[in-house]
Amino acid sequence: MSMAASPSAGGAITPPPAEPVIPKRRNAELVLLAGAFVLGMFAYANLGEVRAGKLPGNFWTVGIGFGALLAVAHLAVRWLAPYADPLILPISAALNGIGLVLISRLDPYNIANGLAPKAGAAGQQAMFSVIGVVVLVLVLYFVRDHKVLQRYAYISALAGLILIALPAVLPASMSEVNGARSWIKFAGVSVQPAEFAKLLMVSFFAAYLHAKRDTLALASRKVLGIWIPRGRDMGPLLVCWAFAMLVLIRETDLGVSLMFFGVFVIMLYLATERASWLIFGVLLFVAGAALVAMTVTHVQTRFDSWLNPFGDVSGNSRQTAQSLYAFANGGLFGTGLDQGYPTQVGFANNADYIMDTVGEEFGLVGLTAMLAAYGLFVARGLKTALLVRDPYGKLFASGLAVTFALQVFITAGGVMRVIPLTGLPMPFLAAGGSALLANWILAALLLRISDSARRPLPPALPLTAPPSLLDPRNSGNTGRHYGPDKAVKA
Amino acid sequence: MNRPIKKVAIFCFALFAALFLDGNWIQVVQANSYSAHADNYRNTIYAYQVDRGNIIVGSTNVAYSTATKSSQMKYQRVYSNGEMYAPVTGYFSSNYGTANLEQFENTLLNGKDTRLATQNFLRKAEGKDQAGGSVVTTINAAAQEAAYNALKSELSSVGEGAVAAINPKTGAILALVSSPSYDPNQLASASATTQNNYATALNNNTLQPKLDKALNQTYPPGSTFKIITSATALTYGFGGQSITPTSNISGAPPVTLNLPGSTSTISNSGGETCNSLVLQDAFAQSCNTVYGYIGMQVGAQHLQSMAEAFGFNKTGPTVPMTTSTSMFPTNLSQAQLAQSAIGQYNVTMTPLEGAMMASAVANGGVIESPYLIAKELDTKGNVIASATPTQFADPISSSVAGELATMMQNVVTNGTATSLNNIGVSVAAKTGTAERGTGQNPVAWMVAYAPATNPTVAVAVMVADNDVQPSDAFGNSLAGPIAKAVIQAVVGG
Repeated sequence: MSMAASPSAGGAITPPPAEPVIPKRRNAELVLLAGAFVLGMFAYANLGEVRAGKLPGNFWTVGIGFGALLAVAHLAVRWLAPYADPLILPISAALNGIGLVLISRLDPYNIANGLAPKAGAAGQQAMFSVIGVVVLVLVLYFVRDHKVLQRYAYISALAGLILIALPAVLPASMSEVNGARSWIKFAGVSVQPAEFAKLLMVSFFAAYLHAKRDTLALASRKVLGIWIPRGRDMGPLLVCWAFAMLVLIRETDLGVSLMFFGVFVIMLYLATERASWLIFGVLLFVAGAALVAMTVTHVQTRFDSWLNPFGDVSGNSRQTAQSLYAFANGGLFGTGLDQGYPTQVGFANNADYIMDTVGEEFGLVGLTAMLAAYGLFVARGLKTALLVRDPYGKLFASGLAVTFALQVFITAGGVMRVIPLTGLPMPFLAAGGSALLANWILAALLLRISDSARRPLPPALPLTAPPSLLDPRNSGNTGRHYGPDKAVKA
Repeated sequence: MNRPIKKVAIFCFALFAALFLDGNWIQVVQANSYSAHADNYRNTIYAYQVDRGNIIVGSTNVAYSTATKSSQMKYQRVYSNGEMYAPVTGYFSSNYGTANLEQFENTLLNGKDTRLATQNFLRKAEGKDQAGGSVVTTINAAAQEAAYNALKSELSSVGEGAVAAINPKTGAILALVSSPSYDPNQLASASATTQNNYATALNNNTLQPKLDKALNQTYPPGSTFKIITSATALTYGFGGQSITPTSNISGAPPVTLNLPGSTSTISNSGGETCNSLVLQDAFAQSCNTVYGYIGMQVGAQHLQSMAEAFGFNKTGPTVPMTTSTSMFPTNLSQAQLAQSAIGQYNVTMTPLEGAMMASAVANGGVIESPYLIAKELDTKGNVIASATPTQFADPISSSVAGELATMMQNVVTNGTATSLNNIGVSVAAKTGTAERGTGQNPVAWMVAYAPATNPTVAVAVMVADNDVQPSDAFGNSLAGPIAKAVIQAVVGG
């Protein structure tokens, strides 16, 4: 009887409470992927039925290819990131699939009007979808632990800055598309470097802020209830702001500028938990953007057509007006695929303006579903940030999720006239290889971080561990057996 | 770090909520307003996907749609006798919009009318295209044809003219002609080039073929305005005396009326002497000197209020097309008053107003609102609305109307409207020959109604043609034969 009251008697160790069994959720992912596959193929069949009353000629080929691609992605995740979040891959696949259908729906008009290559933009996009999944697998394979990326922080920053700044220093003939100098055009290939730069910069921000967070958070004075950072700690914020303004002025690209600065300020807030950074950041950006808007014509006209979209319907505000007409024509349920006229918007109807087609042909219902898919992707990214254990991972995951959210908001908000039109491609939907590739990498990184977030910890070492556990030869053992074993008794 | 991540999550949620709310705003709340914008090309595209309804005269479709093989422009609009009926049908053009009934009855014709909602819902369920309802006009085909052909054969290449004929008892418009006219088929062509070339040619034509001169252009009424001046004298009298058609206007000069405060004078047509100063004789001979004198005697106030009772200075009736306002000037000097009393100075009227003037006399003093739509039909041809006549104005008493009726018959039997005498039906009329600027021939008018005893048609004919001998440019000689053709077509005389 007395034995029970003294647990230490006999040197017995109380086992730590068993960690909950964390399900891998790979089968859930498979079911959801099948849903994404059916959704995309159904839309493609629908397109053929509306066009010609029969399935598209290459329906089965596309079906097999798309199915195989998703299967490869799924198997790669099962193998390389078995604990990864089960929603990230299906949402990416569904958006990419719908995007392909939308691009091929818009192709006839774009081919006829020289807005797409002779063979159409859908084929290219399909090719980049394949490359995107291959890159996803490669990222998962080579980046086994997201923390290694921390080591490359400054290289990332350098590469990112060069990518962002490149269009600004290139001659306009190699960088300008429709008024914004945010491209690199070389030998018939167009790349939007900002799409890759966003990943590099978020990676750098995460590493940098992780290292400096304590300085930035603690060395500040409280004035009027607001923590005022020290002057010298304002440095990074000011550098980043100056860079954003430079992008805005030189590349006249409000979207890229807003996205980078926005994600930096939010990550700064995440790292320091000081709202004062947010206030300074927003004030700086609004003041700077207003100043630029007043002086740079391209930015100015975009502001004007935002405030007054029907002021110059045959000139500057034509696209904004046409975009609103598309959404208005869609109404609640939409016209049905290929039965609206979203091509009226003209240039970039399959990229920055692709939400016009969603709004017009799928209606408010389809738009809401699309926003929900994007929202869910962001939510899974932030959930990953909450779950992951290391602060760098938290910063990195939330940075990626916030970048994605900002890009969706800036692009969709621009065509829907929530904010001035800024010109970013819609993630996963928009035609454009570099953007698609970058977003698949973003998805891969989130999968990697979420895998590490949900992966069970190796067993905690008891303080009086038996030699067998301390033996380096046994260190690879991450078995989930915690119960008292023979070694303890011995 | 999880606390700020949760806050950022809320922020991201707010971004998406903003997009969702904006989606509701632009796709539901503002949708109809955005869709109605003129530069929204979808309107044109959709308009051509509707089996648009017919515009019907009698039992003939003067405007109808035929199915094409194109997938975007599914129906082609066709106008039979396009030029003749253009002032009625107007046009339906992908590049130049719509006009006249095509414009004012657009929601019925294109099927968006709520009364057609059930039928079109069922059509959609059956997989058929949206269809429109039809419009049955009040036009009398014989009268329209007679008016159009008579006017066209009379006008030179630089002349313009218009005819408006109404049923004085109901206001139903029997003929509506404007010349030169245009072919709405060209503006509705499937070829944008054809449309553009034709529209350019129309716009370069100084005679403005697209302008409906019967409804939307005003001209000096000249002596036809003496109907109103007579009505003023018969209603109010002057010089302390009441006036009847047999009153002798003894104060009036037979040859020249000197205008007070002015060096100009008023004389009679061709410098004639007025044969008789009795009111009905002066009316029949259309003596300017007598009527200028009467104008100054009744005073600007009475003349203006009578003109306004007839519809001047008021927004013209909607038939359903809007019509121009006929004008009677205000703040007149005595000299201007005398000239206004004979329909000169700044008095102007539409041909439709001329027909309304005659219909007031024909209909016991009451003007019925002119209207062009007799019936509206649904997509299956069932009547969904019929016109009910409404009163537009009641400018004169029935006894004054009776006196004016006698005087206007006298114009035909003993006066200037000889072209309408002995045409198999008794006619009441007033001629008009209104001076315009130097170098321009006068505007020739005939305002008439028939049969005199039981009127079924009131008509106004206006001809302005610079390429006729000035000696022939009179209301009786130019406008009279056209009025005769219309009257005979309606009455069958």
